[in-house]
Amino acid sequence: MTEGVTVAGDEGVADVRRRAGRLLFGLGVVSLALLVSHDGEFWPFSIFPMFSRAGRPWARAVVHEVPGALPPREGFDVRPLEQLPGKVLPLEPYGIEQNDLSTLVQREARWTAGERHALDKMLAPIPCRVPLMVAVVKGSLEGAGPSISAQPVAWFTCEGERARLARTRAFVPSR
Amino acid sequence: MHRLLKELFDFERPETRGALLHYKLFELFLLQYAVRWAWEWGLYIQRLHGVVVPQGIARHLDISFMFTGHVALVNAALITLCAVAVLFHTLPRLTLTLLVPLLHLQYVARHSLGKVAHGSHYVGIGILILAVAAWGLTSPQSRRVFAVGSALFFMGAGYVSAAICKLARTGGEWADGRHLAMWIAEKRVDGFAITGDYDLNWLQQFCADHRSLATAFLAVGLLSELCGFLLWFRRTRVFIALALVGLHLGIYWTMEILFDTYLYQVVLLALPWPALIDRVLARRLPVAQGA
Repeated sequence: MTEGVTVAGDEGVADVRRRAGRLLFGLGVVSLALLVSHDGEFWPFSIFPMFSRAGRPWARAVVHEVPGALPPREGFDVRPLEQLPGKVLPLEPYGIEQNDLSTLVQREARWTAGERHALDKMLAPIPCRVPLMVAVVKGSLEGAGPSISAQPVAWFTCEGERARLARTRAFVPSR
Repeated sequence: MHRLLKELFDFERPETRGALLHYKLFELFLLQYAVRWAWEWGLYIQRLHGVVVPQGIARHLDISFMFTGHVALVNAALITLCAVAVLFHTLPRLTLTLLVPLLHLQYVARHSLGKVAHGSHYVGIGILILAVAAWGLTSPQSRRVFAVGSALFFMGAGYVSAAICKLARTGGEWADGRHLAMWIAEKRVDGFAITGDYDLNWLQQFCADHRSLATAFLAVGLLSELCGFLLWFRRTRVFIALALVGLHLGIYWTMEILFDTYLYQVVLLALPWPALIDRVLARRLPVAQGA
């Protein structure tokens, strides 16, 4: 039974509180130092910047199944979301994280070999039946509300049952 | 400062059974999430090939070994062992000290593609606080009081930081209903991409169609975050906790994002559960004595 037992033990309450205060202060200093030196993020510390950039344009990824041959260069044109070819392939059944895929496609213009490889590996769980298209959907604030547009950024063909990166806006892999 | 410490750390109050049980619940809450995420992240790391955007310790150390073989799963197993050891008070100082860097490594390996998720930070801070308490304080009761009080401190600071980030990056016009419409549209695209479903719920549609209502939602949410420091004070703790619960439910219903651990931890730590548990136990005691 712990009722009626004080926490101080042999130490005075004031001493314990002083020590607790120093520990808390020390934790605070360490967290601030880590945050300042790491752009606000050093798990488990964070400045929690979620939703801080209000009204800024955003970019998210969608994947479509597009039967038929890969389109020509016009296949990378910007268009309304409803005019993306084929039909959406939901990511949830394949365990593909929408946040990770969207983060990749947001940097599409600067993709390196590492990012193309990451994209190729990310879509690997999808059993490929028809070519796949990854598009970036962009939203921006215009007037009273958001304006949405979409643009294909990568095309995948099927090698056996596996989807393989065939073409991006800036890159055609050699096979 | 002295007043703040008295509010956070009530060392004078005798520890009741309710307070002890409450602490055990908090400890279990932290440890089970640590184990769950260790395996969730570990399984996802198996599908990654390396670091694209380094986070945390990965900015200083080469963590490519985390993506070879089953290293991430071995790390998850180690985290599980440490968590079980903490639960059974086996070498708590060592195991708590190991838990923090092992979880950090797992986190930065999982989030190495650039997107940083924030759902695990309060749990991580909680475990770090347990480790600090184990080393810095001698009596188990002081450690428990310190753990709960410090967790409340960092939670309050976290909410205030979130509000300051919003005001710093967007300014006073952050609470503009059009911004909520933008986020709802973004979540709609995400819903479309993840499940093939594209429909908004009634609240999302209402906010998208009524700018003034959406503005009011954002303003109340921002104010709740700014007042997060009220978690530090016993008199205001329950009220701000309820406001923060409302904030998280509002985010869930409009943005379909549930910061579940934040919500549960606010409910767990800020509401007067120890007193309620004591009352229940006191009512049951006459029955036990008469049986």
